[in-house]
Amino acid sequence: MASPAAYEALAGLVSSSLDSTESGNALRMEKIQAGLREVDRIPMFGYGLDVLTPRSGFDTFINFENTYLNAIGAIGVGGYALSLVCIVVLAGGSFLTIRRVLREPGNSVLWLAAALGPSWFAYSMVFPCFRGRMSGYYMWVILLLVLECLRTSTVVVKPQVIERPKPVPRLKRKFTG
Amino acid sequence: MPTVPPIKTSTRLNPEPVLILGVLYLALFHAHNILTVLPLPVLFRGWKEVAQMISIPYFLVWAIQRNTSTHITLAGMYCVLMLVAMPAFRFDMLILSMSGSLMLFGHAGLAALLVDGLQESRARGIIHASAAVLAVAMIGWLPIEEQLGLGAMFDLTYDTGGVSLMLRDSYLRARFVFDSPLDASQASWFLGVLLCWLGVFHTRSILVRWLSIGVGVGVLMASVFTYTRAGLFLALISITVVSLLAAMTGRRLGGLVVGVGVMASIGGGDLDGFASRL
Repeated sequence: MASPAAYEALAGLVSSSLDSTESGNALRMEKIQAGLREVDRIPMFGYGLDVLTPRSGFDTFINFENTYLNAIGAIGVGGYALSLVCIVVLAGGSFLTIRRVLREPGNSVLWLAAALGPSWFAYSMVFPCFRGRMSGYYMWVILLLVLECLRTSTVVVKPQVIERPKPVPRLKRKFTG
Repeated sequence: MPTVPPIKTSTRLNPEPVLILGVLYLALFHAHNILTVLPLPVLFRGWKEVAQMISIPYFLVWAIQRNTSTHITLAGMYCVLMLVAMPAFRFDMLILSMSGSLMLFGHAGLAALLVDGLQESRARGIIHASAAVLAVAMIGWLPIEEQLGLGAMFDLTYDTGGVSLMLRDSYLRARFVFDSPLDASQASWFLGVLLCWLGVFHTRSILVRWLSIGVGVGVLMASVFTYTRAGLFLALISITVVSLLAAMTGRRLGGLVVGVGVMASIGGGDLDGFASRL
């Protein structure tokens, strides 16, 4: 049974994460809204790949606190395409994986993909996953993991009928000695 | 007269050149970490980008080698996306553009290595263990990862006397870590360990196998002589030693090496901290 202190800690953690008045969360929401306002002004081929990295300096580098807005801002049309792929695989693939994991509860990799896919999808909405290297790495790992689970789900193993070997007929030998 | 059926030759590509490049590079990098006096050229200073550059050809070779429709589709999509992103590449800012491009596209190769590992685990019947350690690696390190490390976090709890602050603080740290630009070493470290694993267990070349073992020892030494996350590294060291011994004695304990990769991914931030001080 959870102690009251641990319960309070967890409740405080969740409530502060969802508290829009908290300074960190409010700033993040402002940046996402600014990105949404700016999305129609982004050039067709984006502001350039160089603005994606923090090493380009705080004046030029973009950070809308959203994976997809950042990608669109950096590479324009390519960003739309990349975002579409990520959203389809993460959201759609996760849904199909969850549906399958309910049928095959013994498959641990499916459980992993079903847990990571939706949670990372939610995470990618409030964090720029392609800005940091580690989160960029996780993004591809989870995309491939979900795709791999979907791929294996399409493999239908047909039951094979194993034929018994026919008994070898005994040869009638004639004793000729 | 009985006829001999023709021998079928495999059309799969050999990924060993990429493995050799990766292992050689990582060997140099870890040697550089340990022996800081080595006068390495500037190319090897940009080790994060090189590690990512290695992963791109690996991904493409991986897709062609598997030669299934899903992998080819994925590789094709990846190439198309990279091509579509090319107009955003600014040649007057070559390094920054390359860095941005690698952030977007550089890590699929690492993911391919991981999927390789999962398939290998499935073939060896240790898939549940691998899935569990992978889950621990990807989720479990969040609350313990940051420069202050585990010890400082528990000190904080001790000083303030509350679990609440510890949880809140660790959560904030996790958020910071994902935003931090100094986190590349975890990916590079993970790549290194996975390359070692592939090198030791998959290759038929004695040279690559011993290079892989050498890099494994280098990783081990780098972890010992850099930062002070003693508990984590003790676990890492013991698993690494057992795995390398198992590899050298011919036992196939891929699961343990997957465990090393996971442990290394947890502790990989230390190398970056070390490298940034050079």
